[in-house]
Amino acid sequence: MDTLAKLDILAEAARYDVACTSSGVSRPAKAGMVGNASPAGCCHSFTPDGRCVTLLKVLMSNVCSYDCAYCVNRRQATCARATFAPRELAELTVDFYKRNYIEGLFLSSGVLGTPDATTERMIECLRVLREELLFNGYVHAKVIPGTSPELVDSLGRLADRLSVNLELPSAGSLSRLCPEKQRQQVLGPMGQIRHTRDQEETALLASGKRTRRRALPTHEQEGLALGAGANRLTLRPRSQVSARRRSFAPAGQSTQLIIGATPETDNHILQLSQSLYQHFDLKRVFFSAYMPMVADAGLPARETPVPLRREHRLYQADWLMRYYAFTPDELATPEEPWLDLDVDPKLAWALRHIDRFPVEVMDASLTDLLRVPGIGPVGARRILAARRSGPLSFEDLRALKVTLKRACHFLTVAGKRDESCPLDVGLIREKVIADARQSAYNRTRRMAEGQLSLF
Amino acid sequence: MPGSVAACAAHVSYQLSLARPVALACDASAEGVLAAIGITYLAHAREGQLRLARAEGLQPRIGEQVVLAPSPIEPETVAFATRVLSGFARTVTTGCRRQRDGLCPASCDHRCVYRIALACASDSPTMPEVVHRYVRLGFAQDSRVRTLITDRRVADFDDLARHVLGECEHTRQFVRFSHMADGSFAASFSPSANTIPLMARHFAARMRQERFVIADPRHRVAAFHAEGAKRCELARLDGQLLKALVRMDDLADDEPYVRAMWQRFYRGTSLPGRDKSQRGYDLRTKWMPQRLWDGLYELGQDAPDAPVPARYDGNATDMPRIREAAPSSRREPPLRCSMVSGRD
Repeated sequence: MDTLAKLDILAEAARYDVACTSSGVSRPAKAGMVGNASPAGCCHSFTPDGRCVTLLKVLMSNVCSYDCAYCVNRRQATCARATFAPRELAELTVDFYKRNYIEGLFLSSGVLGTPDATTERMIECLRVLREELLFNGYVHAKVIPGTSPELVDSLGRLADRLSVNLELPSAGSLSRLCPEKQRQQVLGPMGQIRHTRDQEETALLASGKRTRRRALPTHEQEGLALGAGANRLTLRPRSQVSARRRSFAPAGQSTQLIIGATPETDNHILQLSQSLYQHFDLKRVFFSAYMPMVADAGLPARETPVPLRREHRLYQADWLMRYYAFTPDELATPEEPWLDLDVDPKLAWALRHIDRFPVEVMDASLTDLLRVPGIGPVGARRILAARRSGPLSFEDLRALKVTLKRACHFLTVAGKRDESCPLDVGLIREKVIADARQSAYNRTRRMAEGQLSLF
Repeated sequence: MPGSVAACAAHVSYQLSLARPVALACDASAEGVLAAIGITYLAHAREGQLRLARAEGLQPRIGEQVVLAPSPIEPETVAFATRVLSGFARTVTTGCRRQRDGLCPASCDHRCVYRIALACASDSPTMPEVVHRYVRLGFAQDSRVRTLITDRRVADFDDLARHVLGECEHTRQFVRFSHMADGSFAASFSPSANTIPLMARHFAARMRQERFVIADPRHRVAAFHAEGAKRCELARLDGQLLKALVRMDDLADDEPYVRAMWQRFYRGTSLPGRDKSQRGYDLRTKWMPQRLWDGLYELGQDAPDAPVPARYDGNATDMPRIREAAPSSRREPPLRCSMVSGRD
């Protein structure tokens, strides 16, 4: 089988893994080596469904000894199977990279015999890529649950980012749908990655070399920047050591959860995400709307629509937790554990807490501005920078690219409300919800999803 | 004072003394625009007394006198533009807290000045005048100009720079190189701003070990890179050379197969149930403007059957290494053009 035929099988087999970022590490070009890595990453193409293509995302092999109920590559599935030779995949990565098709390699695999045997093959591929082909670009490697710690360590020395897929949001769902996987096999490598990164950070700080990051600019200085620079704008504390100095998984780790295959609520999923961020220092939790490709008694029926809107709202909520300092319970409460599908989570929160508004633009803190629908991390910082020069007006906010259509209801500027904004709280709620429901996105998804509930 | 610059300033001054409105037509490059701005100062023109306009396609207004600014091909014009730029940098960083604390340029990388390079790369017909008004504001307000982000002049200028920044990102994303028979790589890309000079260094870092060229037929600019070089050489091209570069009809033997693999990979990554009909809007087009689709092989017609290179024929155990396969030791120095206009 030539590489084209293998690629056909192994790219399609890998497409359900949603993570495809090449960010989080800066590695300058080096003489004699191929490529570099930039902290913001780069999307080189977009699929017809709008997802970014930044890495050569393939499986090493789609042969799998496991029988996870939701997986198209499960042991019992009748599909074409293929396996890359390590060098073959490494050569392919470099060929694509040199044509500016990709930023690097995203390497995952079915369980080819045992997790250790699979990981050894992946390590060989990355070794060829790094040491023989001198590839200096980005590599994201997937850790197969059950892999020995020493192999996880070797993988982390060759890859920029590691990820261990949690797959399902609860231990019960995991044991029901993935009988060969145990939760500890997933959490163990996550803990190991966190621990090794922490150890390296401590050693680097103790070494006294120039490892500490430059001081962060103030929020006002950030507001004067042209670009968004979104990665800098998080309110979460960041590591004291630059990714460039690290040798083990410098871009950190991430995970993926399948949404809609099991009955966990949004509140449960957001609580879990928050916990993963805190305990394992994850860079991202990815959500993958379950696509019913496999018939199984434990899964939604084949004709169930993809819960695209739920995935979208969960991503928005996740963003709000990482960049706006929202807590999971503020977004989906234990009493109302599902996110509103018609209204974005920030707007839904604002409508539930309308007594906290309007916020006065001229003296609101950054955290208060970030709570206003229509004002993002960039807009909030621009406001902080601009108001130092004098009083602002609604016209000025437009010049700062604040989305006034949503924000105007929740703001006063130098004591004034926007003229088009109703004063009555009930009217604001009615207007805002009607606007959100009329969006093309909501209308299309309502038609696609019908009135079906997830469970 | 350079002769052509001084003569132009004198001419502008004369026209203004007759109370005639003046359009100063300049080359739409950073050097051309900055030199023209310097000339407005030499002519003691006040803001509003004249306007800067692109020389190419200029439409004079009724009663307007058109004065042609000196060409940036002349070294003295470039030197004059450099003086204007360094004067601007000195003015806007005076009193700058970062400058005072010894953090400039290491910390901000002279971004206030880099914005001018970004804005000047814009294709907007109003670009020279927008930059002119911003630079004048900078000279009048010194470092305060950085914080006047709601001022119309700053907002217009930032809009231009932001658009170019977006187009720079498109350049990083969507340039597609082809492997040529001589072992080099070549790409043709037509952005909606003159981004190749701005992004040449990015590609030089990414492809340090390769000999490559990126041609922009729209702006008649190309970046040439020699193997191992840290920078690209930039050149303005004439029609013949441009055609030859863009044609790319001498592909390496492995190129059709690699393109076919890329196309197959791209098609394999798409997920069902999430496209435009399911979403209500076209997310792909939002991120990937259709004007750039022509150069993207993944969106083209099915690639014809291509011969399989030895390294991809499935006998993976004894495949040759890529760097050994490429004739690196026989690579030639980069092409040079007589109209080299500057460096990235």
